[in-house]
Amino acid sequence: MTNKTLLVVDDDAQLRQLVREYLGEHGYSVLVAGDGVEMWAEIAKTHVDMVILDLMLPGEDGLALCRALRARSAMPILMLTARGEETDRIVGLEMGADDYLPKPFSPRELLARIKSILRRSHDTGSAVAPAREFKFARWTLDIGAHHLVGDDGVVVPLSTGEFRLLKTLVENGNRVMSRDRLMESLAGREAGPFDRTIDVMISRLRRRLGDDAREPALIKTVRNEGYLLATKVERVA
Amino acid sequence: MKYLPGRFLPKTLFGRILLAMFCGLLAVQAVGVWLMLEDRARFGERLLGEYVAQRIAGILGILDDAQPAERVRLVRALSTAPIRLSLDETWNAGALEDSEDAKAFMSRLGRELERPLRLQVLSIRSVDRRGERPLRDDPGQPSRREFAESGPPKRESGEGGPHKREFAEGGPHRREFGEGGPPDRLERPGRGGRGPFLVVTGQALLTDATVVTFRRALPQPSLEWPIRALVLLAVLGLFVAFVAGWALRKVTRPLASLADAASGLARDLNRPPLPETGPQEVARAAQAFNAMQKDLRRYLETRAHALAGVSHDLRLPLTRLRLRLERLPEGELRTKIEEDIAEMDAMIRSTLEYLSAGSAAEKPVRLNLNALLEGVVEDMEPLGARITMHGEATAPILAQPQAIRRCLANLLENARRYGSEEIDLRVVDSADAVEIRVEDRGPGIPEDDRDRVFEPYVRLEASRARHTGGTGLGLAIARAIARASGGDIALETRPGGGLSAVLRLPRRAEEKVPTPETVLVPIHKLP
Repeated sequence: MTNKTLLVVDDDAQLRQLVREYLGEHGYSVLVAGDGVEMWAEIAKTHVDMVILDLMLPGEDGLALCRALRARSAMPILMLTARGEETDRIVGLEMGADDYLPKPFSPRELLARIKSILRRSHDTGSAVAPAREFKFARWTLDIGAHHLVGDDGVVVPLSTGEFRLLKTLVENGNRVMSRDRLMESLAGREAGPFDRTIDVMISRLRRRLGDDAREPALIKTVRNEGYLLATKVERVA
Repeated sequence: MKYLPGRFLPKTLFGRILLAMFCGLLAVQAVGVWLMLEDRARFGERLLGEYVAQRIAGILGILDDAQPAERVRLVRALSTAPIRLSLDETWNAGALEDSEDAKAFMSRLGRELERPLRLQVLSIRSVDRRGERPLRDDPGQPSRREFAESGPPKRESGEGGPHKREFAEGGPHRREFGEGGPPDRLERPGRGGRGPFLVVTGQALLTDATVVTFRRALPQPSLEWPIRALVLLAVLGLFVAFVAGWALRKVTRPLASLADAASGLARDLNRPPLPETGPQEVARAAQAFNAMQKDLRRYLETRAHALAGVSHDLRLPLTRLRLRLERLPEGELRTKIEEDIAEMDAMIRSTLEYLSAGSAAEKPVRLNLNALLEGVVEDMEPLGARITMHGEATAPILAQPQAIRRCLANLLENARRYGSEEIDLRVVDSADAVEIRVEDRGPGIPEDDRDRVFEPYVRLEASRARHTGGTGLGLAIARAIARASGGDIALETRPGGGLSAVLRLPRRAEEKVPTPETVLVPIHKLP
């Protein structure tokens, strides 16, 4: 995990310095930039593993930079914003950011997100941009908005747990996911006491997807192993 | 007292103006027709009266000059329609016609005579054309003006039955003339298009004491044309009404779209501007409205910018504070500071949520409300609420998912925090609206305070609320969202104790008739 190079782009010098010190203490080498111009200069100079990008920047704003960055490479991007509006999160993810963190974030949360994003990009070989949505059967799972859209255009909102569970299943289409692995996905962030068992949540998800509980066609039960999403999944970046 | 005619007035501006114009037009036509007929009738009467008087005076002069033997021959020769002469009748000094008409006729006749003769009018009668049968038992009254030379028509009220009968025959529109007192005969539709004749019967005592009885039938001069004129006027009236209606429609339609735009403005500030066409006043109203919409949008954009700035400026130092805090050793002080930061963060967030509630940033979509409710409930339960759901939405609703989720979460959070952990969530769906009731078994809210709790930063029990971590904006945000969606939230007393928060979300016109494939199958009823 260490020796990764992070580039922090924020217009506040103090914050840049604080983040640099904090992440440096946790084993990352951190570069800083105050705006888009400096960011491009740093990227040209050094190999960067991940960009931590503030949404509001002088000159070209974070969204535009994110889009431009995404057009060039699959480099992981973590968006920071002080606006904290739900729509910003959705737009940020649509622009190709891997994740989104509202200010004032806790330093530990920042660290956890960085780790998780780097691990994911390591798993997928750094070659693919994060998915914005997944299409399967008659459904589209919208990663930014945390909801399902049916082929009739009706939006089916998901609870936090349902969304994470379904996201894990969809990301690993046609692969059996163990209960432990699924539980892990639930406890990801804001780890809360999920008192519902995986089985209860799976049956709820089946209902959401219009899947028959006794003879499920989409989320199949693999005895003693776990669950799998038995359908073709199309990834939309 | 209630203004009764209001009930019969048309509701729309279009209808009212049209009605007023039509009534005015009718009145103008009625007065015009009346004046015209009156004038013509008087003119005709005078002409006819003079002519008849001259003729009769001439005849009487000839007869007076003639020898008695020749007189018989002359009477026979001259007695052709419309005048009948007779020498056989005796001087009738009995019942004489002594109406003003008769006197006027006599004086005119007298003036036309070369030498004075004794004259008397026996009768002036309305008769049927063919049989010359008297139409009225009371001949003097209705027709006594026929030979009047001048002066406005006099009419005594309370005239007998014949008039009423005539009006009934004449059709309702004729009633317009009823009070004005036009000549009777004009009122009469007649039989076969002709009215009755007037027959004046008089006698003259010639110089040699021979009695000449003359009977002159007068055709009614203006019996047919009123009907033609009235039909023409009716056609004209209809034409004018049609043209006026068309013009009015053109004027009032932009008003209707202005009203639509005004009522739709709250929902969508970015709606396309109104066409600034039509009459000057309407175009100006549309221009003013468009300008107002632009100003409002600019104002809201400015406010949103300012908000983003403030929130950015507040959150930046908080973020730095959090990073600096990492330098401090773990301990009570650090935990307390972290709690303070979290509280400030929550306050900033909910203030922003309140101020941006109902912004058009989020697009309304067709939403599976049941899934949203279940999701919110599931997310709430780890916080210690036990929520039981009753009922469901039967079709998707057009709404902003994140906003509605926030609204419901706030209501549930409010019920959990100030009410009870046991919460009932009831959904009642109808064609017009979806009603969602969040019911708790808590102490409730006194009726007088129920509007106040929706005001931002108002807490009923301030100390307790702060203790439980509320920002005092939850209900204000919920209501702002509900109202921006065209609905509202009301607080009611729950039967059996507790509070019932009722969120009503109207179904909008465009979603009221769902096509078959959009009908939402209730989640638990799926195969």
